[in-house]
Amino acid sequence: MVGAVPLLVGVLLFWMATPQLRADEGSQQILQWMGKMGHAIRALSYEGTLVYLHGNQLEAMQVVHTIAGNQERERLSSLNGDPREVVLDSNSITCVSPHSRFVSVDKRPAHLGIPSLLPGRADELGHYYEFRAEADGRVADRPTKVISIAPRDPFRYGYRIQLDKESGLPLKTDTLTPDGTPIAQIMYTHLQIDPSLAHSASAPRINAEGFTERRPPVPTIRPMQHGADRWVFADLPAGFRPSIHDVREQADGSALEHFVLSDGLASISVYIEDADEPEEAKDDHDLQGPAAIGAVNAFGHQLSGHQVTVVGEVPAATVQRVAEGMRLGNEKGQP
Amino acid sequence: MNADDKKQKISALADGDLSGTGSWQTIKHLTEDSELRGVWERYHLIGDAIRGEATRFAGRSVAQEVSRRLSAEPTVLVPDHGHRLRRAVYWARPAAGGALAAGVAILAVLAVPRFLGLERPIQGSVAVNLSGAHGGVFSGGWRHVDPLVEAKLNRFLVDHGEYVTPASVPRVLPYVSLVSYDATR
Repeated sequence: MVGAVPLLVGVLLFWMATPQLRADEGSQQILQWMGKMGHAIRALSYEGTLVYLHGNQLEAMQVVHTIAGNQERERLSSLNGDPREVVLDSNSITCVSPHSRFVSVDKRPAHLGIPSLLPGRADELGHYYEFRAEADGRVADRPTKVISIAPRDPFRYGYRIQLDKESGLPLKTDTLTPDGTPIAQIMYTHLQIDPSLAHSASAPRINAEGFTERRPPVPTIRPMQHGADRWVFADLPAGFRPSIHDVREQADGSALEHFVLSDGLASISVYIEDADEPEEAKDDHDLQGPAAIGAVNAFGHQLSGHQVTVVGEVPAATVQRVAEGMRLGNEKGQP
Repeated sequence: MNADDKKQKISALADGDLSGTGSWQTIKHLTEDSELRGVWERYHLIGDAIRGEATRFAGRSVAQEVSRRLSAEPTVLVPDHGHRLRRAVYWARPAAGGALAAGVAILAVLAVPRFLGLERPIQGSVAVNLSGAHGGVFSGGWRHVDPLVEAKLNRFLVDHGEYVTPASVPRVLPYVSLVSYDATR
């Protein structure tokens, strides 16, 4: 949630200015609500209990979000199974898993690339999604505004979001398959908005002293340079296109190439590594075929001596189509 | 008989372990006290989940209902064997009080398979029945791939979370997926 608002506001302002949406009062109202949501999740201090339903699993977790000056911090802690927590602040993401005695501290890349790309695409969203308001609801004993975002094709999920009428916080988010079936649901069972919530409330709770620590280098993000890369995405679902590209060094010194594809709302990451020993890699640590966690799908395969892994909160068919549609072209991007 | 004793009796009645005078007395308490009727309903709700009868969880408001009903007192149930609820175990109220009550209660439900010595939750229990929801979307879970692959996919997932288009869909989603991932399953 951290760092999303400037872009969100830009997207919404641009979108609202388009003729297509000016003619649709309902869409404008929805966008205003979503703008309120974007502000609320970043600007408010709150703590609550979430339940996360995915597949046949029901998980419970605690969220604490605090503000200190201009600094945000958010802690997400599992309440079931082995303790696990993710702490996000403006500069880093820390994931702690006591079960594996592992802590990962990732420096957050500056969100410089995305804002320059998305506003120009905001007017296209209506081609891929239908936005509409539904009858008001109630979640965690709070009245909600219900917004439906339905995909217009099978290559992206839909969403049904219930926003707290008072604050704009998303109290319930349903991720829906293209035919409208819930695939993952996140819902507050309890929410307390408290401007006086101490910043320390969102501090890490798990003592990671002595844990194996991973601190990957900070990636350098730059907007996609069309035609400057050797990978070609030959069969992308409508609306998706590369928006970000970076190459970073992994802990073992090898290079990891990363593309972000987006339709303006859904995002897909494509990770490419050298696969010098294909047979060994297949049995090692590279994904071959599909995998999923919650609504997130992944698909991996080897291509021209490279391991390609595609990850995104999109249907399985989408990540597979992206992966299998890739081609290795020349340095100018020609297949 | 204090409130805790009444709840113990209700738990026993729900399990069919109460008979004779004890059962009639407990039923009398239930007819006279709406709060105890709520406790009775909750015991059955959790019992249904443990026994794999997920139908009551099919409603979207189940977690809210569980939270609401448990927010007043974080009693949880732990079966001593098999799929039947046997007795109530009273846990100390968490420091955060009602805020964590729901989480603790659901934690108890989720933890039951471990108390039973099962490695995985009882299939079809505990969670919402989304049968058919997968529709080919899920062809396997992270947890079903090699641990080394899982570790790598988790790194990718965290990394990907940083690039999720920050428009409209709450960005908590990727991290929720990660936090909810349970390596022990």
